[in-house]
Amino acid sequence: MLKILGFFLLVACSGFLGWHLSGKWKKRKDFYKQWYLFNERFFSDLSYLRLPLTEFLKKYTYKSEFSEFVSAYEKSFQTKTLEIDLRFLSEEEQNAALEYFLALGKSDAASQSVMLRSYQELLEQKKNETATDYEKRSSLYVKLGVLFGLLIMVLFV
Amino acid sequence: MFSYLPYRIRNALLNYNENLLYELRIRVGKPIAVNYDGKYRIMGEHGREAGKGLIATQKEVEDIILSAAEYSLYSVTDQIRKGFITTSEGERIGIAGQGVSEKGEVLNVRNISSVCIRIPHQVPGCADAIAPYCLEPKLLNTAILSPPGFGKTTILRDSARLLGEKGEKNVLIIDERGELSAFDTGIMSDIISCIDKRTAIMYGIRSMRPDVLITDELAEEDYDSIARAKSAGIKVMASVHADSPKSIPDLFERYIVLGEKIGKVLAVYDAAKERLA
Repeated sequence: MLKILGFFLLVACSGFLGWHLSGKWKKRKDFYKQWYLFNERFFSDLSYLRLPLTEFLKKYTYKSEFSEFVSAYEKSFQTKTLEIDLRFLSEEEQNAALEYFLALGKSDAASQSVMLRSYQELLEQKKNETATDYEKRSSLYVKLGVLFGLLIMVLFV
Repeated sequence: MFSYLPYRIRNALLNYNENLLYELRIRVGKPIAVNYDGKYRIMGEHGREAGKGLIATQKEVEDIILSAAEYSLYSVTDQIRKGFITTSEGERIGIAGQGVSEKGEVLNVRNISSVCIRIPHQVPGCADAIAPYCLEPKLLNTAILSPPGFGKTTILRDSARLLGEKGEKNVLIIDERGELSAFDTGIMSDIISCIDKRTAIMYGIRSMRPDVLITDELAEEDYDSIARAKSAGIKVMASVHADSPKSIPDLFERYIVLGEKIGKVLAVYDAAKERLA
């Protein structure tokens, strides 16, 4: 009885490990989802209230790595340096994110709106892409994890 | 105050009595000058030093503008086009640089080479100097005249506070540049800021039902709006950059000229522009 329980636990743990390994894809999915939301909100604010960035950044809360990124960005106003940890993004993607945020607040409303609008489609595409990626990979990783657990079970039974 | 200034300038300012600081002039490649207690002095690293002062860099001036705009140039574009930014603390930063225009309209100012930071002060009771001429016993339409830097805005602000003290008069403050409302303007004041005077006066009269209208720095294009306010039965108090009532239309019942030192009444004229005091 204990043995069976142990094996179920092993399969469950390895399945969980598989899910955990898909964390990078989850971070990417969450990051682009939040960034897309940020872009939409900022675009809307620019058309109407035009809150200064320091106020706008405090107006909404974000989740996961994007929230940390926004906090670091906010701090960079005082420190003049932006230190980020976006290892789950490729170098190109990291540069694109830096480029976007460093361009915020540096021009008039019309130019800023043009910039945000140009990012709308790109961010929506990335949001959908990373969501699909995560779905595929997390499912695959969980299955691989469960298979691995079963293999271990078979080997040691 | 001064949170938008670079650290070394902020640090040097700690050596000054904030209450006697009126203006800061930061010019690229030149020593920073400060108007302290009515006189311009070169500002050194440790405050009032003789000899070479703190030299401002282009980066510092650009950082001042960006920081004063709360890192959001899009929120102050209209102000920049008019040559200034008003900070959240009410300091007005005048900008000198290269204008970018199209079809006669200023789009932007680039290569900013100097800034002039005017530091507001609240001086409770400073309106007592003009009160006997225009506030008591009867409120009169009043123009306060002087060249820049003699306390017109400070006195107008205190007048708003005084007028509201008894809780009898609704005071509408048209604060186009965001300076008038930097400090307490009294319990009976309504403030419309960062909108041009003509629009603000029109909308304010219709929606806020003021008894008194107070506004700063009238220009020629504002006089029609003032006349309209007066014809609606509203008393008007305003400041004008002038040293004599001769250059101003006959819109007011009192013309008070300031000069010699900050807040000092030099002369008072009646509606016919005859000298009273």
